[in-house]
Amino acid sequence: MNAYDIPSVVLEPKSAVQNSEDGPAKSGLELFLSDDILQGEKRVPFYLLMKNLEIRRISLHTSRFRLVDLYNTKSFTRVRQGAIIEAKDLKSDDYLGGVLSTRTFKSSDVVANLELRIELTDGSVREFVEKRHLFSVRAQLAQCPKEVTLPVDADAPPIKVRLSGRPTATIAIDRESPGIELSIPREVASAYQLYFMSIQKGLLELKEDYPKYRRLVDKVLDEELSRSIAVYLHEVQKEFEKAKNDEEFMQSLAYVFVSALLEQESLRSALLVPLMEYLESSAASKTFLESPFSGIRVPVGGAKLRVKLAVHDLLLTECGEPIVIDVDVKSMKEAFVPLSTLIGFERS
Amino acid sequence: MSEYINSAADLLRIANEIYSKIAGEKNVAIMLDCASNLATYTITIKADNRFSKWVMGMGKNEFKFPTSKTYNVRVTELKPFYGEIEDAVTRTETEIIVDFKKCLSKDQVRLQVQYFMREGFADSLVHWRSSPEPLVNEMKYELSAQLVDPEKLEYDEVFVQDYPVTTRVYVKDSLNVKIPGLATFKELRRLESDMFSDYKPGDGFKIAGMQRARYELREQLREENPRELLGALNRLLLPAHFREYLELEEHKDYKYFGQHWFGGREMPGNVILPDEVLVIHRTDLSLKKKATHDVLHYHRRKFEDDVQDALSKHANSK
Repeated sequence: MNAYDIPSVVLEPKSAVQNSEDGPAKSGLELFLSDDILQGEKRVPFYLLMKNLEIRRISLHTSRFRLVDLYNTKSFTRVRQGAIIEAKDLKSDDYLGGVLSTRTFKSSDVVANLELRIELTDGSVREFVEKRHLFSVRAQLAQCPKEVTLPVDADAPPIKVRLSGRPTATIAIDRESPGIELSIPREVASAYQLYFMSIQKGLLELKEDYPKYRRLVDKVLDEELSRSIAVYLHEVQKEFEKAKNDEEFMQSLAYVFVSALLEQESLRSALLVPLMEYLESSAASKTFLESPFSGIRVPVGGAKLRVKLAVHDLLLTECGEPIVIDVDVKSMKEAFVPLSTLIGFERS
Repeated sequence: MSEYINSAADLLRIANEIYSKIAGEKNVAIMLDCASNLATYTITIKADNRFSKWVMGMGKNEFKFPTSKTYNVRVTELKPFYGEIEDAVTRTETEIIVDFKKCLSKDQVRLQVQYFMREGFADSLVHWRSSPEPLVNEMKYELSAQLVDPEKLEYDEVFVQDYPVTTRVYVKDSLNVKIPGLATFKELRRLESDMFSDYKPGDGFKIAGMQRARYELREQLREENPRELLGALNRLLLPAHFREYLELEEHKDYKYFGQHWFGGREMPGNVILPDEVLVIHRTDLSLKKKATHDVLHYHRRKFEDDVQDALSKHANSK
């Protein structure tokens, strides 16, 4: 059995708790609480199904979860870290649903509880304790020299970041003042540029055909494709979510991207540049870089590298405090260095 | 053009109007079909004296529905015999007219009105969740759906049919493989970029050398043919194939519906390889079944084995 498979603790003989499928004549209780929870999740559902039971009162208690709402109740009394629901407050006597929220903790793995105490009219009591792990990722600087001299061995990056915790992580790296500007290598930039020009052409035409989305399109055109295709498309997608109910418009928008691909200098680049970005974004197991081509153009003599690393999980919750890296990069000649050769990631 | 009803609450207002118009003993049910975005409002009427009086006092063509909002209207006899009363409903281009006079000889009849609903109309009624990623066991995603506040709808019966529950199966980690040709391609892009950006008169000789190197790299890339392997990986991810890696534990309350690709590059036509495969299952909820759950098993190891197989097949064919 996996160490994380915590069995639900049922504080009564197992046979006394019957599943609701056991037939109409039998009585039973079924408690469900979602699993695989990320720290910071705001809407974790649970429900209690009751069959042929005369309920007097349900008391609910949480630790490390916060009770957000209860379904199927007319009213309920909030108590510290929980609630008390009298039978008369249930709209129907067979169901109690609810939502729990979580916050982020210092540790990447904490255990939270949901406890339910169900008092029946015959005086008997049934209790459930459901335990769940709340997962997150934490990053820490494992190695960071004050000074790095170029060239560096691409297989042994001088700066090391260690991630702990189970969830998949994406890492955004942004420049911090007074560090040198981040840029992307010329050969990738030129491919991006061609791609962006085709999108621009298509979007301008789209603006004429759909004047009511003029402002949306303008906003998208304002962006500069300088970090990564993935980030750019994500931003575009977010803007156009507002128009997503207009199927005809969304279809036309999709064609803009298809034709942008077809208009590339060669279909080979159209296919391989995004693929390169896709594969190079993998920094370690379950760890992805938002802008994998990002790097610095170091002038003769050297430059200051000062960047902030922010880690997000798949639900885009920021995991822990960002890490700031501050290093002097020395070089005898002008050179472009991808950040991925300076900063290495490992998972523990 | 069809006018869509936005939410179950809006539908309730329209349904209440119909309900209050019809005299007699009646009960109501609503069926929300989330797969076809239709809501069926069903009102079962006991054709008693009150009902007869109301029908006799009604003018011709008085009970009607606009076709812009209504998909279909049906009148069915329940008692003493069962069967659709087809001549009770007539349709014009703009209206569907119900003639209740055809129901006077029956004991119990049912009126069903189907409305066009906007996609996502049932979202405020259902709280669903699927594991954002499998964390406790790397192969299992937990799916659940439950009615938010079923009683507030005030119907005698509520059926939410085929409500979609979407699971994000993150595949990017499994596709982090060395695709032959990419290193060559990168070198080629670097060379091309140098050739075209820093040209100075007198560089002719240098450019000729670069041109030869470029030719060699292109030949090498053609030989390595990354597209072929990419095609093979794509085929593994096609819904019909990827479905083999997915399995429901109970098959009781959830039905497999379909998949599509999603990722940072989710614009259609731009997906080379997806970050995630969105797997859609559908479940039914009702006042009798207010909540459902199941577990989706993702056979990740098998998928990764197949990816490795595709890689080695590609390597052997060279």
